[in-house]
Amino acid sequence: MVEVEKKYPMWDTIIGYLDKMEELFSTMMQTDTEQIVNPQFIRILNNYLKNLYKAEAEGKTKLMYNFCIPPEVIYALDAYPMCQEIGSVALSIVGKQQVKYIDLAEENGIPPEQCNAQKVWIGAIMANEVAKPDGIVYASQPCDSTNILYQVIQNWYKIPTYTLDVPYWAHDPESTYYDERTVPYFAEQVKGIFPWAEKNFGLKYDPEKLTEVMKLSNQAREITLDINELMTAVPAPLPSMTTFSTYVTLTSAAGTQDCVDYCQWTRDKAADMVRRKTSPLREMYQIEEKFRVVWIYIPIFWELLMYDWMERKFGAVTVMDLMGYNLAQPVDLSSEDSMFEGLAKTILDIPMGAQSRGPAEYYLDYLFNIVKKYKADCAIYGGHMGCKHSWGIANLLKDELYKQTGVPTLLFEVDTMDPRKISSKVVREKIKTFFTELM
Amino acid sequence: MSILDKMFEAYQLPNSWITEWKETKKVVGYLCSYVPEEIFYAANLLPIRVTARGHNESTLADACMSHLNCPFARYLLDMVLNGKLDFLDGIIAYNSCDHVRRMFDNWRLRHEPPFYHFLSIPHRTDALAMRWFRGELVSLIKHLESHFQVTISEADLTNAIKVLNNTRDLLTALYDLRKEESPKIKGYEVAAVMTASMSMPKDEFNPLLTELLEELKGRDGYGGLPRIMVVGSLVDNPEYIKIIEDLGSIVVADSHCFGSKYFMNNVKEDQAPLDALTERYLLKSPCPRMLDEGAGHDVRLELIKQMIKDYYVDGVVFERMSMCDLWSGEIYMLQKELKELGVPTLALERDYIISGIGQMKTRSQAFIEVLR
Repeated sequence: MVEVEKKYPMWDTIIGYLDKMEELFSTMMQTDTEQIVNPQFIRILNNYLKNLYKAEAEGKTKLMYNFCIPPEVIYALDAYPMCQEIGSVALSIVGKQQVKYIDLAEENGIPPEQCNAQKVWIGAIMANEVAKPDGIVYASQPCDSTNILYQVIQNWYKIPTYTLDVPYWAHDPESTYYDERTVPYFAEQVKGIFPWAEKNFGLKYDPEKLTEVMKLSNQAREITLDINELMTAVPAPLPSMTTFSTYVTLTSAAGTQDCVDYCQWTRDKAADMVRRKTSPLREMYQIEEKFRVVWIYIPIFWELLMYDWMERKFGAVTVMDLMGYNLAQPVDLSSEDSMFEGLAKTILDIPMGAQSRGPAEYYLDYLFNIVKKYKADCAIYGGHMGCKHSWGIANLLKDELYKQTGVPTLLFEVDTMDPRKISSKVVREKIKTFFTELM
Repeated sequence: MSILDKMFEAYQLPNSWITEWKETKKVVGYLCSYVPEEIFYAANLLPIRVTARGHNESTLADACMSHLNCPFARYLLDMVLNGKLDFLDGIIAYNSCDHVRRMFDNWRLRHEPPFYHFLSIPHRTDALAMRWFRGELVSLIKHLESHFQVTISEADLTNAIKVLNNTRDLLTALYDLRKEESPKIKGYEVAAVMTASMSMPKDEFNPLLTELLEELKGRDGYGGLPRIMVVGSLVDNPEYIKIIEDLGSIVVADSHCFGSKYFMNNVKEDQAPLDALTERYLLKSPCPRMLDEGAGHDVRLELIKQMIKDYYVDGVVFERMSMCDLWSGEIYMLQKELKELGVPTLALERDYIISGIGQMKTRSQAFIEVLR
């Protein structure tokens, strides 16, 4: 285990938790004969966080990015990729420290209704408990909260910032909403990150380095697509929310060998389960899969054990979720232009961004696709209270999904970062009622 | 009926000007000040800035959207679902903010308008974004031409630009009156003029405003009152401003999209019309949705600072629609920055309709006392 200097309490809280989890993981989520959950997940996330200190010691540039930017771009610049949402989300997963920062941000004037996905970090900035990045790169998706709170962060730090304007339309020729201008427009902006980074931080663009990173990224992408295909099997070959763990790994480590290794382990485990026609549910709890759930929003980060509870209590397996449904295709490495085009498509297709950046049909199409593809019995939308745009169409999603497929949706409000707004008890009661009385 | 009375009368949708226009021609609604009205004038269509003005309930919309959505979006959707905007022959929306774009999704999918077009307006202002936006305007023109069976020529656009520039010149002249030591017009009256400017044909509005400006020359001013600037979400209801003024102040300036953000900066008349429209509308006084160094927060702050100076503002009232993400973050930054400059500020959260004003009155009263 790498010993790190403790300097940033927000970061160190997460690292401290993950250190313990790494030790515990060997005894968790396994049967007498096999490990069910990928133990590499915790290690990769922990290393990613610890690498911040390493990067500082080496004098590397730290670039903050939102989750809609592929980290491959930042790895290719040999900078440290500091994903704001990973910090805020990870803190919300590990305990109650995040509420301290939420309260601090609100005491200092950030309104309570603003999304906590950024407010946690802003509170940590105000408390001076998180590292200051050298620059910021973010895309104008998925929401207004991103757009305005990244301006707040920029305003606080007064550091160079590069914003990518995400168009409102699709780029897929198969799509009814196809717009042929989208990809070239967006690829130009992705390309623009490199001269911006050179101008502001002296980071040189090296096409060979980008190719090298993208080769590793492509391997992970191909395997991720395999994993998502394997998850269509009945019973589900991986535990609930494994796809979310894969998403987190890609968001922090895509373009590294670690990420490829994680994906391979996960794919092999799923393939093995499918071959044996068994499931984690059966192997671990001797329970049969009863309900196949698609979780059509981000997970409740402070309540991740709830997904395991749903499995054990109701035989309800979350076979796919909003963030796990990653459609990023391997990028064509034959030319620089094709790489930028591929990266542009990656951002346009990025989980949550893809569903959120355009008209309601984008979300609806995603819903219809995953319900059909994963043979879902129901959908659950635990809508984050800070996510105004998705709440604006939540009823529409529910109505249309039922109309088109007959699949019911459970809608409820929750703050996915702050357990004080809607408690675990309330959430679990709603889920219990849904499975026991309505399904 | 006085000219100002006529301006107030234009508030309701549809008003008599719209009804008269509809007898022979088409009316198209739009949802934001980033949409170039000139294009509709060039097509002989009447563009109307659509809000829920005059509509006081949200029951039907509440079943579609959420209490977490901004009240403006919910009241407007409710108006749509009640058929009160069925007089529109089309609607133009864009990715202005999350609440409005989702309101528009509900509008399209639950009460389909006869024609709609969605503009994808960039959050940046550089050359690349300009090219994109120009492409969006070309698509809009083609769509209007094919649906309404019209032709929009360069000459039509040039003429429309002249008409709209005249409107902007007249509104600038009106705002200039507010810079005086004793402004000759109250803020709530200006609010009525602004709402009227987006609710009737410019060919009728421009002469009315010209006449009003002439009439105002003979008016006594309102000197000696604390001078307030209103900054924030759209204010389409003059009554909101009147409440602040009735407490013993005068609103002399604003920065919102039913105020100065609507008319600041003319369209250049010495450029190709579509290029000039692209530039003017993307570089107009920006909304907090804009992100880059050409229109981001620092640009908006400088514009407000300049207005505070030009209009001799004593204090700034920030108002934002509840649940508005964009303005809540913007106001957080502005309030901090203006405080550092020694400018007194008050931040108010509000509903779309005038309701629950007790707290607003109490806080505004205290603020005005401080400014005296």
